[in-house]
Amino acid sequence: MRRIARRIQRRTRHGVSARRFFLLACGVAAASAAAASFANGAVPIAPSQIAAILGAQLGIPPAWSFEPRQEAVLLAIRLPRVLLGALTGAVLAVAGAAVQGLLRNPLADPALLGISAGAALAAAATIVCAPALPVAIAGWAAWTLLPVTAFTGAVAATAIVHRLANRNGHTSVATVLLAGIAINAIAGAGTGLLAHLATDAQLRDITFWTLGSLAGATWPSLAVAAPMLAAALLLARPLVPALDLLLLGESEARHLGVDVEAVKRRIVLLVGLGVGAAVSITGIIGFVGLVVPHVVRLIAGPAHRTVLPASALLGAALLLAADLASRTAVAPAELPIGVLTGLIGGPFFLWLLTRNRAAAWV
Amino acid sequence: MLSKHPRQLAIAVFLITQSALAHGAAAAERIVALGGTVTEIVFALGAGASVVGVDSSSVHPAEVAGLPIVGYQRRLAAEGVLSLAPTRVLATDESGPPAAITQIRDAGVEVAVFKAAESADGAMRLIRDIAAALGRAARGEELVAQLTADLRGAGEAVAADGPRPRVLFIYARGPGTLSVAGRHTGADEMIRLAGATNAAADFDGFKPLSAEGVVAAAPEVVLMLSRGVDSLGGRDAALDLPGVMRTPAGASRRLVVMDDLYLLGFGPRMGRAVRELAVAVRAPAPGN
Amino acid sequence: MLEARDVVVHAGGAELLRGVSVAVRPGEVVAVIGPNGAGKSTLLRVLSGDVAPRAGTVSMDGVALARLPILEQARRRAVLAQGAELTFGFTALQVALLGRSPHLGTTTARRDRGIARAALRRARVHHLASRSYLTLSGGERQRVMLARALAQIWEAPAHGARYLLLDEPTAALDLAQQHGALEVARAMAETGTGVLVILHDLNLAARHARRVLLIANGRAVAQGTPAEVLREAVLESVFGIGVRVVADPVDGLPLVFARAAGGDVRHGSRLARSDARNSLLE
Repeated sequence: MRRIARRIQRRTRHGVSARRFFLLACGVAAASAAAASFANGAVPIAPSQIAAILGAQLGIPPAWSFEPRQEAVLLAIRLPRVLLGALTGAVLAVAGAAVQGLLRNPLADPALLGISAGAALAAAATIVCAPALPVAIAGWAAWTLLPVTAFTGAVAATAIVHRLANRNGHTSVATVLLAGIAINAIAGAGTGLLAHLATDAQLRDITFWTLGSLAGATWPSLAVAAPMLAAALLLARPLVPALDLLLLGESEARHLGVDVEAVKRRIVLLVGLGVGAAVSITGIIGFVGLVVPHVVRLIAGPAHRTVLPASALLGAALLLAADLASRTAVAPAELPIGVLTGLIGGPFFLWLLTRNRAAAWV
Repeated sequence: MLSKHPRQLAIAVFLITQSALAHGAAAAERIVALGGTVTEIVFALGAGASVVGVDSSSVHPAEVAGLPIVGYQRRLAAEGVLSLAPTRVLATDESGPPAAITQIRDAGVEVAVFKAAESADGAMRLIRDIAAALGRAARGEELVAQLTADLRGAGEAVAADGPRPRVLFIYARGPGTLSVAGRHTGADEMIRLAGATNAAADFDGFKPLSAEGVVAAAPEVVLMLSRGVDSLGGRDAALDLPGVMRTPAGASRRLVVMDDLYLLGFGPRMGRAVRELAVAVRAPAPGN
Repeated sequence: MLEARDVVVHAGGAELLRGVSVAVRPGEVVAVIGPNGAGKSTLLRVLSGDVAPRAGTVSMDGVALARLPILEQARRRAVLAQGAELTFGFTALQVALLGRSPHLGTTTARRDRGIARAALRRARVHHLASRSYLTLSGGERQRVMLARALAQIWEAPAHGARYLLLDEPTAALDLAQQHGALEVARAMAETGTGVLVILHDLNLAARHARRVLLIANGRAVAQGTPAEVLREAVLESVFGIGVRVVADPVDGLPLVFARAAGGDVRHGSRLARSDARNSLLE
């Protein structure tokens, strides 16, 4: 009798701490990726020098010498880049989980809503039309204005989708999907037209923007983007119970006390704001929102209490690892990060799927 | 014996070490050159030994082959450039993104920006500016003199009242994307310098190719870049483009192909390029 | 009391309910029967707050549903509708736990887990607690969902009664499981819950409900005890098939048989329409 009780106890305890252990593991992955990303790059900086540089910031006299070049790289290039990478990875993954909950399909992705396409169209338009502006501001406009217009494009796409899908206070999920497809088509056509009209240099700019990069991480740009990214993450947190219930179906969720319309609006808002802010600084980084929550579910099940925080941590880890590879693989040049998130995430996802053949839709 | 004149000895040692230091400092210069023409000029000025990195468009002279490439000029990685420990970066107004340039400057590396040239005067100004930046003004003047002589020679090769062939410059990025150079383009300037007429002179900048437009322009010679011809699949494919086929150029199979940087670089080799172009557009049709 | 009074429901130009009234009283099981398309599910959706009637009132314990916050409604009324499709691999225990969501903040996680397990036990699916929902059969899934609904109203609220609305909870269940599920509903009623259940099987209704409501074409045709409502004439006119009603020799409750063409008798359940009318009925 006692043996059975103890075994049950152990199972329950194991059940509770299994979740905590998993989240801890995700946290360790994120922290390691951040540390590795911070400490490595094209410019060699020894760990002792890193300590000295950071210490100098805090007023501690440096015990090891370092060059001003290394200090600039560490504090002005790598540090904002690591912060942006972590926030962006977290937001993309959480937005992916939210869209999958909204559409009740584990294969959904924020790109389905047309957000990235809207941002890409706005960016392409900015790049191609900038020379039409007075020469004085054309150069400035093309770069400084770019994140602003890209964000506007993302928000506009989100607003259009929401407007189309929302009738009498009721958001039709099917219409969200269809509207997203329409936006993707229109934006794709527009971007294609702009690419056709573009000069060689402009076309390369558009292409690079579409392939994604964390190179736009500077302290000024982070000062604008970071609050929005953080806001998106904070918006997601209280949605955890509602997201679980939404998976049962909308009427079932309502029967269980969820204000379904408000939750749907909030999901669209958080995805539009978060992904819009991310895309405007980094360009399009795909795959994170699709793969990370899926992988988390394969390991830990679909309860959002685990899926959201784990996705945030693993999304950050994935993006930081991809960024590290992009900065060091072909140094002194850089690879586009979107290619790398696919190369890292894709095969890993396939491997997990083959291990878990029983689980159809997790 | 020298010890009898310690002050002279001290001065002599001082002078020797100073000149050694000056020579050493010049040799310790580490330059990252961005832009095919900028790189070309730096090497032509004799400072090639100081170049530690170039961008992807720097393909001349042959010595750049082994150098690290920092990537596409408009999409620099600041840390990548800094990893070469440059003392200065020579860039064009095309170089970017501005955030990366700022980061490089903030790291204490001087970034000198030069305006790309689109004319003979521009080329000479660019040579002089870079020469001044590198402290090789004398050599710069030599290059300018050489360029002037080349251009004069090219002009003489073109008879004043001789034929001015109608030339159409087609820019190709694969069969799907073709555009034609109008006025105020580098191609237009080179055609003019070569004593020919731009067949597409009724608009500015680049315009997408339309078969009818090309036929209406009726060029006698088509001018293309080697990379563009490759992207179309060869000379015959280029001459068989719809529209081109039905022009005098297409009929007589007169296509002039030149290297991108050579034709449109507007650098030290510009004069030779003009001469080559002038001769090529007057060459008889193949098979005649 | 969960009550709908004279409710009229229109949708897309059609009149789904024309002035139907029903009261779900605590401690009582009400069965709603009728042909397909009669308006049974619509009536349930009015009571669950999914559909607002064009006319008439619907109220829970005296307060109009429109004025009760949905969280408050969810704490006292559980709904088990048809066609709920869960495509994510929650465990059966996690599904049952979802039923506890309306009570977030008023209870502890440990207590909720205990209730969820007890609900699974009551629905006879406790052995499936750590199985993934997606690996369960149709019948097992239905009982897990029933457990979820039970967990939702496991405890009596501070004031007011509890209500359980079930839309054909026996569709995928075998013979024994069907009666098992309805016994659970009856047991809930005995603890003070008001239960409304839509059924196709007239005999199940007769055995487990205290009152039966017969609906056809959006109207209430008959309401009363099973013996009062399950009469041959009215059943024939409503279902369009010959029926025979006898009294069960053991407990006296009505037993309904449908009569197919050729005089064969079949058990009174979901049946195809038959044109034959046997004169023996009259």
